[in-house]
Amino acid sequence: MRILVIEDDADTARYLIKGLREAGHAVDHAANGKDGLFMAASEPYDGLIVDRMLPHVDGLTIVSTLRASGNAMPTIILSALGEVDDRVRGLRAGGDDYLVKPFSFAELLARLEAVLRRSRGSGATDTVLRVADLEMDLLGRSVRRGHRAIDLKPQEFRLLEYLMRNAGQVVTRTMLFEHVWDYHFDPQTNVIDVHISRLRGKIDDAQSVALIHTVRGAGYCLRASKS
Amino acid sequence: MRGRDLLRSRALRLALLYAALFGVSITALLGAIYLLAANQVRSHVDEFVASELEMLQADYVVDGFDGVLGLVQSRDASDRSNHWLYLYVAADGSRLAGDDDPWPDATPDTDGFLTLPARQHRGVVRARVAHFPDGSRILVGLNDYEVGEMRSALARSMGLGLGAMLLLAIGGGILVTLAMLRQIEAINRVTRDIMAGDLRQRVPITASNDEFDMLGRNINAMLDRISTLMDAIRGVTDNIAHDLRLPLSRLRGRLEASLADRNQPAQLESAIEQSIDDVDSILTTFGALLRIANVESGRPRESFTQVDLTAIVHDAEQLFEPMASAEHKTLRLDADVGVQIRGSRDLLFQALANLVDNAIKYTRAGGNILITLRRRDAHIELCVADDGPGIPEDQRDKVFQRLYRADPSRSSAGNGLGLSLVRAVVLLHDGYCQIVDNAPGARVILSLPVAIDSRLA
Repeated sequence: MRILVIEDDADTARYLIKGLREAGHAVDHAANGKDGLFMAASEPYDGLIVDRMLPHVDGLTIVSTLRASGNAMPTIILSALGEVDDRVRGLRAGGDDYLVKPFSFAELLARLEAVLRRSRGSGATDTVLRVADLEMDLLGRSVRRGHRAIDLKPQEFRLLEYLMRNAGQVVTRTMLFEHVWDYHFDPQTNVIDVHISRLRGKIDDAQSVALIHTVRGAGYCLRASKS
Repeated sequence: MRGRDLLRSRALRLALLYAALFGVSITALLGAIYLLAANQVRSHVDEFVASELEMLQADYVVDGFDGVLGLVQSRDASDRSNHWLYLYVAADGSRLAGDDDPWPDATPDTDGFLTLPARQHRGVVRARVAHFPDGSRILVGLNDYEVGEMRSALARSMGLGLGAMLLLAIGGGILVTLAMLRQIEAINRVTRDIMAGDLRQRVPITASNDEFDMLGRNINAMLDRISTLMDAIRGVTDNIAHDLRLPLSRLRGRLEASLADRNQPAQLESAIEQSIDDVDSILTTFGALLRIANVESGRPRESFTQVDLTAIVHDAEQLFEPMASAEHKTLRLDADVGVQIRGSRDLLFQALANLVDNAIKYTRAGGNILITLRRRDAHIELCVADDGPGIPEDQRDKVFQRLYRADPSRSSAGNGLGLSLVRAVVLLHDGYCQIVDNAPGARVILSLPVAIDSRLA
């Protein structure tokens, strides 16, 4: 994927570019808002990572300008402002996701993959999700592993649905908390882990191959086999 | 008090302005009185002249020529003041009696009066002429010198009065100004002392309960609030310095030690991972402090919406129930349905999550945690109760303070900010929180005001 990073802080930019290249993306960098807006508007990037505070043109203006001109490039806004209001403003300007500094690179990468995947529109209208022999019927609200029917509580169902929609990708604890519980703060405890382990107990039994994997230092990943 | 202050004083300028306005109006009033009085006196002079002349004419009717002559001569002899002027001449113009002045050739005004220059004194002579049947004529005049005398006496006394009045106004203004400046100076002295660093100073309050006392009381109340806040900030700063020094020095030590491990990649990696954890915990503490500060600033109030509190407590129960049962504890919920509040959904949930998380953390295995949500008449009561060790009575207020930990040795988990955020969130929603004995355990009670339209919603 071709990603544009608009970030004025040289250290943060270097750190982002290095990580994104290691993850297999082609990265361009703009150090100020004016250049960044020009590049974003003139080149067909797959994704945009933009800092909120930038010289010349700020991040929110870049995003809203792109959106006003019909450019739907998946965008993550980075910011040092972390309150709910700031976040709401960021998303209202047209950002697909909003990440508060400081963040771990794993968190950024997981969120970037999620917005890139979402923009490709995969699975948005599916009625059945499948990963290996795990099958989720969204209309019938039922889940099967092979021939075994699995009984899930509503919250467990939503948790699994989110993991399945992002199958093969790392999802972080905060991403799960935001999407499954719809609250926006860092819960700071292992509550999410307990939910995952309970879900894992129902999905992965001793006879089958484990599907829910823990990714150290990042979060979780639902995939057919260890790659 | 310095003279310079007095001259620059707004109070004095106001007093002088009042004195000037008062002086102008008094001058106008006195001027009007003066003119009226002067006219009155002049008309009296005219009346005197007219009645004297009438008397002479009556004499002529009774005694004829000799009568008039006798009267004029007797007047001439008795009137030493020379205020009166008599000219009695025959038909041919020769002097018969009276003063020596020549017959004036002035023309009479519409009232028949002549105005002649006076021989003596200042002023003028008002005169009138009468013709007798034998051709002789008489002129009777009276010096209006008295009018002038009266005028100048009037003007003198008015001038004196005006001067005294102005002196009183200016003097009074200065006195009032001095008194006012003294009270303002008392306030200024206190503020100067406070600027110099002595925050204990307070504005003296008098018994008169006037507007200066009101101002003083408000300033004192403001100072009390500021010193409370400063004490709180000082406490927090001390705590932050203390709480962050430990992880920072641990981090430093680990980084130093890892220098020695530079040839052993596995150990180096684990040292780096632990260092990142340390930094994360420091950042978490900062983040929590910033979040509390943001909540306390009241800014989140701008994005308040109608929030379903019942849904929030169900979410919290659902989120934490697996954690509780994993630790062999029981989490239960007893909530009234449809409880609404105006507020921030995220913050209310986070406050509740902090309470439930604490309760689970501090309850022994086999313990019980109960969340209750009740709608009372005037408020909503949200409780999180546990049957754990509880919180000693003398610490129940302190645990809401930033970075305070009831038992520093108990756990390294948590940063002592969870309950501070709870309190900040509750205050943001105009509620209050308290901890009571749950016998055994602790019960945290959050009282929140009922949303005005909760019955309708």
